[in-house]
This record gives sequence, C-alpha cells and structure tokens, in this order.
Amino acid sequence: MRDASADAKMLHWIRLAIILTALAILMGLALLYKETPYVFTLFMFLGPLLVGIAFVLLGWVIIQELRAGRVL
Amino acid sequence: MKPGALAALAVLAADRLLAAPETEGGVPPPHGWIGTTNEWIRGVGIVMALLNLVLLIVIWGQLRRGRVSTVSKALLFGAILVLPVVVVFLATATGMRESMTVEACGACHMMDGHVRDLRDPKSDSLAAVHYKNRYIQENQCYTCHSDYGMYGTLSAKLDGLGHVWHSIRGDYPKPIKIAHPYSNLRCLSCHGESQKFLEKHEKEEIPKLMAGTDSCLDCHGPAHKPQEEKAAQK
Repeated sequence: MRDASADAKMLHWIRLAIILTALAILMGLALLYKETPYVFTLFMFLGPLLVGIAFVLLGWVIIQELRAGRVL
Repeated sequence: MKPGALAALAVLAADRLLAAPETEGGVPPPHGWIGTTNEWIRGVGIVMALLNLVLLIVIWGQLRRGRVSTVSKALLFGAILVLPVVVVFLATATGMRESMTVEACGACHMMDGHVRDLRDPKSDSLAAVHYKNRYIQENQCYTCHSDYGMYGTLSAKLDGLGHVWHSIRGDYPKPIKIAHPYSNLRCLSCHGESQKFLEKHEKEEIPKLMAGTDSCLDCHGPAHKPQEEKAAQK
C-alpha cells in the first residue's frame, strides 16, 4: 500500500501533464484558427515538445502505479 | 441526438465557418458542396482541439474532487496522448500549408513593399507579371522561392525560421536582399520545356543557364520593384 504523499506526488505530475497538454492545444487552436508566422514558429517549437513532456510524465505515473502493484 | 451525429454537425458547422474567403477579385475558390480537404483538416483540427480541452477540464475537475476512476484514467490517456497527437498533426499540416501563402510572406513589415509590387497591376516586375497573369495560380512567393521535393520544402521552412528570427531582432539588411544567388533552375522548371522558351533561346544558351554561368535575370527582370524603394527614389 502506498502512502498519501506518493499519491499526492502522482496527482501533481498528472496535473502538470494536463497543464502542458492544454498549453500545446491552445497554441494549436490559435494556429488552426488564424495562422501567422509567429504563432506557427512558436507552435512548431513548443507544441510537440509540450505534448511529448506531458506524455513522458503520464508514462512515468503509469510505470509508478504498475511498480506499486496497482491495476490501472 | 447521437454523439456521432453531433460531432458530424460540429465539423460541418466549423467547415462553413472556416470556408475559404473569396479571392481579391471576388471570385470564390472552387470547393465543391462539402468543402476542400484543407478546410476539413482545419475544421476537424479545431473540433478535436476543443474536445481535447473539454476532456482536460473534466479530468482536472475529477482530480480536484479526488475521484480518479478507471474511466478517468482512460480519458487521461486519450486527452494526453491520442487527441493531442491528432491536433498537433492537423495544426502542423495547416501551418505548413498556410505559411506558403502570399499573406504569410507579407505578414512581416519588411515584405510590404515586395507584396505591394507583386499585387500592383501596373508594375512590370517579373513577380507582378507572374501574379497578375496568374502564371502561378497560388502561393506565388513560395513557388519561386523554394526548391522542389521534400528537401526543398524543409530548406524553405528553415529559411523562413531564419526570417522570423531576423524580423523579431530587426537585424535584416535594408533594403532587404536575397540571401543566396537565385537559381535559374527555378525559372527553368516551368519555362524550360515550353515551346516559347525553346524558340526564343539559342541551343547553346540553355546549358549555360542550367549550369548557372548565365542568369535569367541578365536579360529579364527586375524580379521585384519594392514600392518603398520606388517612393524613396522619387
């Protein structure tokens, strides 16, 4: 059984992943609605990067849960 | 109403909302009864992005209430991996396509003069002649200023990145000049095989043009007459 602080840490990582994904999606939405060279450049640099980091964070949480022996 | 039908209606509404604007002459571009592929990519991208944001908000609310169920974990997987990948792909496709337009090139202040010249029916620069006669149908800047194939596209995008950087820093030369000598092959890729070109050029001239020892611009041109420069000269 894991302690509450470990659960709080996992929630913290998940929240961070949600925020990073939301930022990437907002940039994508801005680009889809009206393309400007500046938005495009910003999105190309940060969009996939933020989504990638969010995915790594989610993967980390999943691995930690699996290690703790909990079924997803 | 079923969620599938609702989603289809939302995509159709987005498609109508985002329908391509009329061209400068007021002629609508041909796009059939249900829109072009590009309009669909954009419309579906916007719907997916909004759906993704809604899902993230729902999951955030569940986390705050401390109710992390198996369903919310599955939603999390969809909202952090599946949908964002789709949105990033569609947004990138839209951005790549839109960055080829004359409007995208003209978005930076230093290109105003070139774009004004391009669109000036009275101008006799090569760019204006190609534009007003619609020798090039669309993406006129990109068509002449990018090489062909995948490497050409990537190279043009990297150059564009440099342009954005210099535009932000304001350290571009005034008046702006082309960074590399203009390749004749870009002219010849359209003109090279035409009868008009073959009739008007000596056979011996063509290898010289291909090799770049002679330039098309030695006899034709100028390529651009930036209108600020003309105003400054008066």
